Amino acid sequence: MANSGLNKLNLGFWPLGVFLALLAGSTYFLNEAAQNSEFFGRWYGILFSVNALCILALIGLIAISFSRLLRQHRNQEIGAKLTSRLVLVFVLLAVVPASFVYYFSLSFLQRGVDSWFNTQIESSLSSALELSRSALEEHMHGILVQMSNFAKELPKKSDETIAREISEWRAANGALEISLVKPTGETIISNRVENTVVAGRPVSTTNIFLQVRQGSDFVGLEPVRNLGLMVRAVVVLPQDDSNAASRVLQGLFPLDERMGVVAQRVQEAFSAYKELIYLRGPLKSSFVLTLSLALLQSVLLAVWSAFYFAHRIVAPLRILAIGTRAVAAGNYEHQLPPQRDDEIGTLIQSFNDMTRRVAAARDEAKLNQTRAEEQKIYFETVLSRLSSGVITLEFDGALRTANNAAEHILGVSLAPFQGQHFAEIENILPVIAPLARAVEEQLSKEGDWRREITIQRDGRRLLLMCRSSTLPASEGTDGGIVLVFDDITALIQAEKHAAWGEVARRLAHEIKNPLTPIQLSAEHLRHKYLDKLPPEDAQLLDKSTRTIVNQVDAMKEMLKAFIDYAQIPSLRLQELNLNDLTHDVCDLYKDAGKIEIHVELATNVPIIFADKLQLRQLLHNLLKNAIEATRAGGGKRVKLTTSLRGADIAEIVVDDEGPGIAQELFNTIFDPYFTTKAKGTGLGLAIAKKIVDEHNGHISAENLPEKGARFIVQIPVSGPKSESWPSRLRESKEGRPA
Amino acid sequence: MRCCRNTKRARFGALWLAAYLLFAPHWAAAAGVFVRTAETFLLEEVYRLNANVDFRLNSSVIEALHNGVTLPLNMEIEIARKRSYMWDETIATVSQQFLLAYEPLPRRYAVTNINNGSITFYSSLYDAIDAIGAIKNLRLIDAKALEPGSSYVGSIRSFLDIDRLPIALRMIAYANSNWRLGSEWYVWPIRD
Repeated sequence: MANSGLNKLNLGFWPLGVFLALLAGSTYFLNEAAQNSEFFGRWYGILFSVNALCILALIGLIAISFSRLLRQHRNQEIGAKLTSRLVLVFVLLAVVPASFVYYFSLSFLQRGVDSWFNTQIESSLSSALELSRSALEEHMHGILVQMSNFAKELPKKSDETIAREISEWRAANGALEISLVKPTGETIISNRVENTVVAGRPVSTTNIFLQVRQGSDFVGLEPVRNLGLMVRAVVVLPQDDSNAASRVLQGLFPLDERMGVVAQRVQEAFSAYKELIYLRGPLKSSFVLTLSLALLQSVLLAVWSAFYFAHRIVAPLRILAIGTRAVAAGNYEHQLPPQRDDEIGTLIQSFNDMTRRVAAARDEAKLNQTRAEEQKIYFETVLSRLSSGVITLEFDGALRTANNAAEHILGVSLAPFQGQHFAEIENILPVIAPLARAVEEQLSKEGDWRREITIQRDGRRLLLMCRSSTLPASEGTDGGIVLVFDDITALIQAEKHAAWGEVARRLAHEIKNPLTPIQLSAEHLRHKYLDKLPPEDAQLLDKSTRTIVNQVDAMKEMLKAFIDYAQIPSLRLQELNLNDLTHDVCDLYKDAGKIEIHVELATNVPIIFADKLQLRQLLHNLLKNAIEATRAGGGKRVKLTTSLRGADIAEIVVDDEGPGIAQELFNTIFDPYFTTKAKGTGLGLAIAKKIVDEHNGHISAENLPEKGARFIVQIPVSGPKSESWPSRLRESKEGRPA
Repeated sequence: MRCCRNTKRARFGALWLAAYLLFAPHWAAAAGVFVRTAETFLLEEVYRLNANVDFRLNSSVIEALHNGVTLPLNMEIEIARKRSYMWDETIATVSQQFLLAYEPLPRRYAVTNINNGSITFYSSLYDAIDAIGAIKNLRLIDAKALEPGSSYVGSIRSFLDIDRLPIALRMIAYANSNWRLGSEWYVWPIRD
């Protein structure tokens, strides 16, 4: 807006200089003109206009500057207060002395001009004028009387006589010219001093002629070119014939030189003095106006200069303040525009250098921080993806971090306990007790360690392989202890199963071979000697051989079970109806003593994809186990239910009313050769687990709240190869009602 | 014609503006300068002007005159060729300048015609200003100078020339309406 225009003006000192020169020039010329200089007098009006315009321009500039300052105040811009203060000081410095000078100049002017005039001089001049006037009038009156006397004689004479007499009279009376004029204005006779041209206008062309023709004589003074003041006297010739028009006699007489000069001087002096007195008022006004204009211009210029210089002084400070504010707000990119080559310019240059360096340092720090954070996130991601649990501790045993796997393995959330000592956490989370003890034991010792630790979680025993390393304190880190542990329960279990499978196979191989010859030999002995031996011996032989044959059969049965366990044939998957299969198997146990088998089959269980023979074996093993347990516990009922869990998991649940499973046996219940019964191979549940594992399913056992145990089998409907099965199985297990 | 007149007026325009800002304008109703008649006639192949200008001086001006101030009175006469498509073309300008002064010794008024240097005396002020206002037989322009077939108009105005007043009075005269005496332009046809 107006700002941009003003800013352009602020480019340097030259516009101000030009303006000052113009102002000073016009004021000087105005002053010269007011003092009556001929040249400037002609330009007075224009000079006056230029000055007036300059004043208007100054007022406009001041108004713009003032409104800008007001706006700055309103917006609370930086530098507004300083500008106001500077402007005020400048204005006071300019206006106060100028006002004093103005006041005294004005009073001197008034008194000075008035002192030029004096009433005494005025009355003296008036008297001098009066005196001159009466002297002149007397002189002219004398001439008129002479002319009248001369004219009285003329009418009676002839024109020739008149001409001669006029010539003589002119010469005698010192007249310059005597002429006789007809009433029509036509000159009859004219006589003048030799070698003079026409002296004055012909009388007929003046209004005197009219006056004279009315009958009254005339005498008057008038200037004649090159000859100074003249007395013109005009008289009417007396008439003989009243009918004839009057002739007129005119005479031009030179004024007495001394008298003429004095009269002229007196008149000039009087006129000049009168004019001076008359112009005293306007002159004073004119001086006052000029003085006022000059002062007004000076003051206005001073005010505007105050704004101008205050702005120029404050501008770099404002820029600096804005820059400082920006830096304080953290904006180091803010560079200040270069200023003029002085101390403030150096200051701004230094400020720019400083912000540049600060910005560079900050950028570097930021970059390093970003890198460190990226690295941290990377390591955290790696740690969280690790299947091994990782826990870091301070040297005093306080928890620092624990990764996802650690929490998963331990089955607790460690995040809320950050910073607490392991010993304290142990009180709240008993599951970590063995781990805490191991750490405590090792804290005092130097160096890394590695050991197996057993923990109890949800009633299950978990075997952890735990390693500990000491992190030395280095620059930026305090050091500490790192615990890394893996859940090796499943691994150990698998190893155990594999070992048992190997044992079973060896046993079967080594034992099965001699069994048949033993049985055959026993039968052969019985067949050959039973009839030949005396009855007592025959009875013993019969009993012994029968025992051998029966025990060999029993061993064969046992071996068959071993082989079944060790050599479960590969799956022959087929579509089958689980409910039908369950129903068939349960039918076989309908008459199992006094135990009632209660079957609940869900109608929504779909056709599943599984090995029919193995599944049958599974159901047999489970039912047999349940019936035996119920019988042992004195119960009466076994309950078998099928259901669909989720979209594609078939579930078989077998509840018994036996004594339940002892807490410490939960981990080993599915191990081979584990049995609590007097009779039994200890392979029933191991085989069941193996079949379920083959089908990529899950088997678990738990005690019922009142009495007995529950076995739960979950099998994928679409077969063992279905994806993401284990996770869904876990979900379904967790979502199952107790 | 108009253009020249406008230029002259513009010259004073800024002046009037400044004066108006300082003093309130109050025109004297009766006083003023009025061109009553103006006409040309052809004599000896020269167009001549007869005109009558009525000067009505107000008391301020008369007071100044009686206090020794010489009054400069001007007459400006312009001859312009009429043009239908644009402003008129000024082909000649005639200026008549008079000085009116009071002589206290013989108690009379002296009228100086600056153009020819003649001084005429009058015993009354009214005779003097009537004499100034009565223009008779003033040679304006040769008939040959006018293009045949073109129309010409003359215009006349008369005014008190403030710029030739004494400097001390000039400032007052600029500001005071009593001193701004001047007629409107009076236009008459010279040749149709």
